[in-house]
Amino acid sequence: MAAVTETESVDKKIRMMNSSSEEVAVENPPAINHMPEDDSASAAIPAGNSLSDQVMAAAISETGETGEGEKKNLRLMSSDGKEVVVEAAVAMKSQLIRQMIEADCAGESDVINIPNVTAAVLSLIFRYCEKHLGDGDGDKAIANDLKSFDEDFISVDLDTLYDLLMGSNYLDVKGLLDLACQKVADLIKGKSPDEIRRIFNIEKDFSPEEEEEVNKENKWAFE
Amino acid sequence: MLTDSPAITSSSLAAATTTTIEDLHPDVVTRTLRLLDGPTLAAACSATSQLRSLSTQSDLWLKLCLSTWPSLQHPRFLPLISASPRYFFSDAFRFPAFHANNALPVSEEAAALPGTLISAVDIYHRGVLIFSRFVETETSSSWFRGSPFLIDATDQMAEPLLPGVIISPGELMLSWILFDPAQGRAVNVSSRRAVAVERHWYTGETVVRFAGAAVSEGKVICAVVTCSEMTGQVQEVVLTAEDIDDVCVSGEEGLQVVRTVMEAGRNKWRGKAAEEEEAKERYLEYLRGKRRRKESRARREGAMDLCCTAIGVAVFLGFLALVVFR
Repeated sequence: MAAVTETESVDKKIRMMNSSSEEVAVENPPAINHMPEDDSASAAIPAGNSLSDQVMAAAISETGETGEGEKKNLRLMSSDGKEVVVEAAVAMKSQLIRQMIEADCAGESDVINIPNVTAAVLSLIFRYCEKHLGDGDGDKAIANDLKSFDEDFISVDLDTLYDLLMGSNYLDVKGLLDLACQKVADLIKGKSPDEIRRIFNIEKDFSPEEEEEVNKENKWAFE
Repeated sequence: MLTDSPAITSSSLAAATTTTIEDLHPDVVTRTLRLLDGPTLAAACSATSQLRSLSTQSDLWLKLCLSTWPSLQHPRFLPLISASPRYFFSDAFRFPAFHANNALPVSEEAAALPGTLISAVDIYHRGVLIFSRFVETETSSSWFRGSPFLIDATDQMAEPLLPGVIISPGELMLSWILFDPAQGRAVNVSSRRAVAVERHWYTGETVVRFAGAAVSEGKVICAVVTCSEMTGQVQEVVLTAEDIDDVCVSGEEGLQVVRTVMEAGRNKWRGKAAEEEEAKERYLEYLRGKRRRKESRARREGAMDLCCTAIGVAVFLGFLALVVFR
């Protein structure tokens, strides 16, 4: 799992960087209670994450907070005033948050403001991110499992679907955005304009001349 | 969903209580529209004015045209349709209209026959694109108009289309779009699905016909794919014209059929299966008509033969009688 590898490599780096402060190096390994001390595993550092690893490691060593626990958590403030705590690795699936971390906009203990998304939607989005952390593993069984998860995940009511669309667009979570757009497209495939209006609960707002023009251009497609 | 109940309103204070598709960012809506097929996009265009303005972005329709007919990606073709890809799509996507009495209304101005015909051919085998060709044919020359109507899409084909895969002729889907750059009209003359598959044991070939979409005055434009049974590959892809009386159709007559079909209306889209069924029905009706005419012609000739024989016999008997009873 990518989360495991990242954190391991982070800790290895801490040991390397703080080689003078023995107590720091000693404290960290025991805190990794369910991750084995495995050289080979940590050697496989995902290429794209090395910058963020270094930044995270720098953040940890600078502030000197070593007892944070094995996984770095991020705190996000949603639009409705609730704080959402999430693992850094999961949150980094959002390109917006990743860029904020990499640009060092948010310090270790700062709270990241997400002014457009509510806490409920945030936790939904992060549930998707967590499930898709290992994307690209290539295992067929995992891919099928993810596919059925996606199908269940996106079978929500229209309001939630809109929230997911807006949230994933704001946070730039490409996989979820594509999934949600595909769901909306599937909802209206093969439907007539009346049915589309009914599904989305929107009103026809053409003037009589516009309506005539629109009908002339598009009547070929539906009954 | 739109709701006025206070309980729901108060529970989601911070977020918008009633989001509609119009609250979504236009980029998100465009992203969704990009995933739609032609008829659904046209329906979305007719829903509201916001959807209309987003759906009529021409690059949406251009992408749709190019993904439906990959042969249009030719640099010669792109400028021709980029002016109005939506119009082109609605022209080329639908099947030509068919009139029961087999006489399509011809415009009064009697526009000149097309001087150039551009063909965009795409063949799919089991859903996979195997052949995509863009052919420009000069049709104003007397050589073309005097010879039998024929457009060949396999001129410089040297390699097999799908090496290693045996083509199953019944599972081919063909689209042949004829475009007249002067008039700016297009028509898809193929029935998409094969209407007839004939095995010719003597040449070792299988001939697959895609016809029935373009029928006019007893002539039908037919796309013909010839597969070799030995190699299992496609050998030839041509566009021909057939006549109900099996008379050869000249280039000029073929062009007239093309022009008539291009200018006649298009069928309202009733779904892929329904349209393909109808095209097949039309071709079978044409074949039935062909057979009927052949039989009636044979009967007529038989009657004629009988008459002549009877007259001949009568003359002979009369002569005999004359000689015997002189």
